[in-house]
Amino acid sequence: MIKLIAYCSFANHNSTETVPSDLAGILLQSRRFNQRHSITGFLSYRSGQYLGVIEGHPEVIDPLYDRLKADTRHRDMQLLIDDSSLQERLFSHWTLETAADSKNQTAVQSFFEVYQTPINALGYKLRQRLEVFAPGSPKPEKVQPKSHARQDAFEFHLDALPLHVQEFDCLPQRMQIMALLMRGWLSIEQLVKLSAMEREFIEQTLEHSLLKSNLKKRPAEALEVDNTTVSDKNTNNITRTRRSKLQAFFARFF
Amino acid sequence: MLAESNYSKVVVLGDVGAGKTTLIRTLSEIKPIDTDRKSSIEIGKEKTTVGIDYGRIHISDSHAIGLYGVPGQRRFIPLWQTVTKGVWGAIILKRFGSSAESDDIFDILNLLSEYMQNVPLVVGLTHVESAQPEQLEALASTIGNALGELGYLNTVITLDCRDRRSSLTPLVVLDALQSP
Repeated sequence: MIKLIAYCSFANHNSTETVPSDLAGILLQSRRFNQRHSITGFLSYRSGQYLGVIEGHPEVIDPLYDRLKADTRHRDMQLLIDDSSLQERLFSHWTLETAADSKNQTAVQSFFEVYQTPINALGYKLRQRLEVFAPGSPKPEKVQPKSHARQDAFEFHLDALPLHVQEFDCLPQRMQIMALLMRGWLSIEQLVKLSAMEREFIEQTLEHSLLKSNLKKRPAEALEVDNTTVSDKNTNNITRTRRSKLQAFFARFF
Repeated sequence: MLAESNYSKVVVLGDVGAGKTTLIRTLSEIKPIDTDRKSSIEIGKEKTTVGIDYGRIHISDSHAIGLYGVPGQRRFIPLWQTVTKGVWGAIILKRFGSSAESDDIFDILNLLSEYMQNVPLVVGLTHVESAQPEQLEALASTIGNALGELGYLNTVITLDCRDRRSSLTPLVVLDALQSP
């Protein structure tokens, strides 16, 4: 089994130069280490930011990721993908890619193609950061700023799953939101708490045409919140770790 | 051998020709063990399942989903009893337009509520390509009402058992239904 980790970070030299001075050192050090430990993937640099993808055996990738987190040559490192379910590698070797060097961009493109769905499920700010690495990809849809107080004045409920739910980009996370809504009336704020998902993603899901037409909406003050439903959600009969593994597995197909 | 907690057992039930064997063949990464035999009556296909189909999906080194295809007819209840322990979820397949045994789905739902209480389930309508939208909606609504009466959530979806992505959808639904 192969593990893949993708992350993004800011170069620690506070500039947007085309090729940072640190890069030669990183390149020399990484190539040697990665070859020795059969690590494949790429490191891409654009406008002061890094996008890194490492894949290999979990016993090598986990400590390497910890070392990368502690590396002072970059900062604000954000985990994008943690996929332990690969049967085979996506990349044949490890490459470095900068704006000036276009020959390795296929690696970056492949990454965005394979993980398009989980990347689209990331928060808006993270997706915006990634735009610089995927110039051909559509810009993330900006959610119109809404008054949270106004949105939270409503509760939502779903009587049935959309019949043609397979036509949805049926991400496990979207399905989880639908399952919660089928169990009771919930406000967006409650959905955020129960699902631990970003508010923007939940709002996008509720706005999706396939779901929106089936969604029931009522003013929150009209009736009391179904507290039984909400408290029941806290007793998970499946561990979060197990769930995240399943979700990562399913997300590869949607 | 995986620990029981890392092995999710999914039971696939359905009337004759609904697509149980096809679904397991589409999803399984191992060559499924199938028990199709020549049918003794006219069912619109040459063979039907008389035992348990088995397939497996590998999620990670320590986690797998086991798929157990069991015939839906009442006379196979003894087979159900061999797979009901520790079931993670159930997929019930209903072939659109199967008139001969159209009540089977309700029979299955009743038996399920008796033999596998509190098991999350999803109903997949198959062979829907030629269905008129209103016919499909009517069937989904009838099954949805039956689910409601038995205390289940209304999880009726359309399904193409030949397509891997479509076949994975009920598993994603079952996963979503696990969190109370």
